[in-house]
Amino acid sequence: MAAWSRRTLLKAALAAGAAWPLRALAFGEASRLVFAQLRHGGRWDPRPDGLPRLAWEVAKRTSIETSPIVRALSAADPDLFRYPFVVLSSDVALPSMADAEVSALRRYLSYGGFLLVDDASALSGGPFEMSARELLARVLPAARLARVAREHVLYKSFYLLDGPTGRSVARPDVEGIDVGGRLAVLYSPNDLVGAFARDSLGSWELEVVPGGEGQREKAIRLGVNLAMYALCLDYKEDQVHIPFIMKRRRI
Amino acid sequence: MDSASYNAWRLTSLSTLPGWAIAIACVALCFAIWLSFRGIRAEPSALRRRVLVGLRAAAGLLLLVLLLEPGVELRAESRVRARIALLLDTSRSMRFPAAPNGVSRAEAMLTWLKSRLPDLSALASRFQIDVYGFDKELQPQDADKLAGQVQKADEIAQGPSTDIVGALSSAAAAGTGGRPLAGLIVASDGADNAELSEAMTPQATSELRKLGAPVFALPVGAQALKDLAIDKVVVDDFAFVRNQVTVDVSISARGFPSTDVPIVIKREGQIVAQKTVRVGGGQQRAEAKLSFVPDRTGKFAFQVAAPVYEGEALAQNNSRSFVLKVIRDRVRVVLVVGRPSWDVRFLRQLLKRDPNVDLISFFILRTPGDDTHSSQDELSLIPFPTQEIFQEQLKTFDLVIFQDFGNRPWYHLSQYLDGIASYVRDGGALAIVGGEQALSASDSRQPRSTASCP
Repeated sequence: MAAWSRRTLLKAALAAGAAWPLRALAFGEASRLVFAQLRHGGRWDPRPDGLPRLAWEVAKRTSIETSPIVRALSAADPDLFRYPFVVLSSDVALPSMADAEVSALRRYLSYGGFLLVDDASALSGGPFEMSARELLARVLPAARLARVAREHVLYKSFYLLDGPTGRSVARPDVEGIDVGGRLAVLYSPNDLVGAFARDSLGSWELEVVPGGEGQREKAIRLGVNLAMYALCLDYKEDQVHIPFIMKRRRI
Repeated sequence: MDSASYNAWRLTSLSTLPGWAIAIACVALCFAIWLSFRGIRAEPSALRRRVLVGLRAAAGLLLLVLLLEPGVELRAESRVRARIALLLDTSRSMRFPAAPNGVSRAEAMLTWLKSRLPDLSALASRFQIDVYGFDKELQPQDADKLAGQVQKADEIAQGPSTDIVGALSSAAAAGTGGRPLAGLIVASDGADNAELSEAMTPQATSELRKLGAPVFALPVGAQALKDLAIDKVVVDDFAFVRNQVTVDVSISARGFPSTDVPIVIKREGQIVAQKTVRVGGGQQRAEAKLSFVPDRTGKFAFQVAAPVYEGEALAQNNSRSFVLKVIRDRVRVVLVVGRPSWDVRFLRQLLKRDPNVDLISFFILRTPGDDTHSSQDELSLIPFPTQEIFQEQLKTFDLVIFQDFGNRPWYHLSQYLDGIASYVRDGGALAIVGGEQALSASDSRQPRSTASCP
């Protein structure tokens, strides 16, 4: 048996270093639905307990797997592209965004990302709405916010809903921007995320007006539909055509 | 004045006075004679009275004659014969037998003509007989010549179509020298292709009335034809392989009682579709829709055929052919997804955007462990059509993709696994895309269908 010289030992240690265990990446984590919150200069997280609760509800009610952790990123962060569902919210006016962030957001949306803009103040015509509309006009100048029709697949992607709601009902409709045939931006004037906010002791943080707990359930359903829409897009629209496609061929 | 060319005479008045003036004059004269009676009553001698009255009446009469100016009109009268038009049908339908297994209708018609020649000569003294042959148009014929060609009757019957009303109108208009039309005789089998093809229409009635002369119809052919015909076959020029093709067939039957007629579509002698349709009796026409599914691409000749019944006048019209080009269809893909994810969204969008792909997607949106907090009818979910996809329709797909299909859903498909394996062996394509639920490192229980993978 040859004696272990220091050199061979060092070489062995180096070789062993290559085999140092790295963090195991579980298969499929990238395909889970993870909500992300856009960090901006103002009050960017008015409802910190809202999105985790929505993630929990989506996992409980549907086959979608979610992560309970909500990532916070700025628009200029290149990691933004790992999170195709991002929420932009505040209860006061949004600060003006830098050009780099605006163009990053534009790229994000045109490459398939989904942005939920939620007015935590639920004040129709208030400072958030004005600043949000201004921002969206900068991000997607060619498109404009249009009312989402009741027949839109968003209202039937999982639950059958007759309209949008939130913590408060500032307006009876949500608006969206269509990019390449899919809804890329959804503007909710009713503080949707606020309806989900639930503290760790299990009680709802915010009261839902005017419909009470019934309205909260509807808001949760809208949140689930949103998540389902972001992942399936117009899959539910397909179902109408299935019988015809099936019958087109016979053996 | 050459009195030899006049053969009749009559009395006439040459007076230029209007009628009412002469009438007043007559009345005045009568009045005057009556007055003279009154004047003469005083006269005792009867003889003298009569002589005086007679003289006055004679004077009045002479005055009347002067007023009327009578004359003799010499006339040259000659008799002109009226026209009779005899129309004989020379269309091809006259070649059919007049009675089953008898002589042809054309032959029967010419035999009749030959037998009636003496009667026609007798009529010729009072009428001028114009003989025409008609089918699509009118052609003048010679009765004697036709009567001599009884044996060659079928050669004469060559016309492509029959237009009875048109022929009658032309014959009426073809008057020579202004002879009036006394009547028309038409000898035909009645198989009209123009206005009278269905029935007597009001338009035809008014046109016949305009002729202004009686029409005598001589029907040729004792019995209606017995014939079954495929009138029309409507089909697209091309079809997609493995897609249903529909062929619309119209058949008509004459002289049939109500019968169930089987119609078949054959390709190279093999039957690809058949249907039975009821026709005959009161219903002369029937429509049928036959469908079949071509299984190969290429250009094929198909034949639509109905059986030939006994006693049918024509057997050739019981079948019709058409050419159909069968072309490749789009690739049919079914995407079965165990759980929605960003990967799923990407794959679905990729396949949907491809114009060569016909995509059907089925996502499992809710697993048994999920509690939706609602009743079933508040959800837009439909039950997963396992039977329809994996049993009935499986063979119609070119590619089946299972994405992120976990063990529990595979368990529910266990009864279809053999079907899927044989689908793969028969040429179907199967793709299994992993995800968190499937083919992940922790997944040790592989579904049995991987036995079909090499």
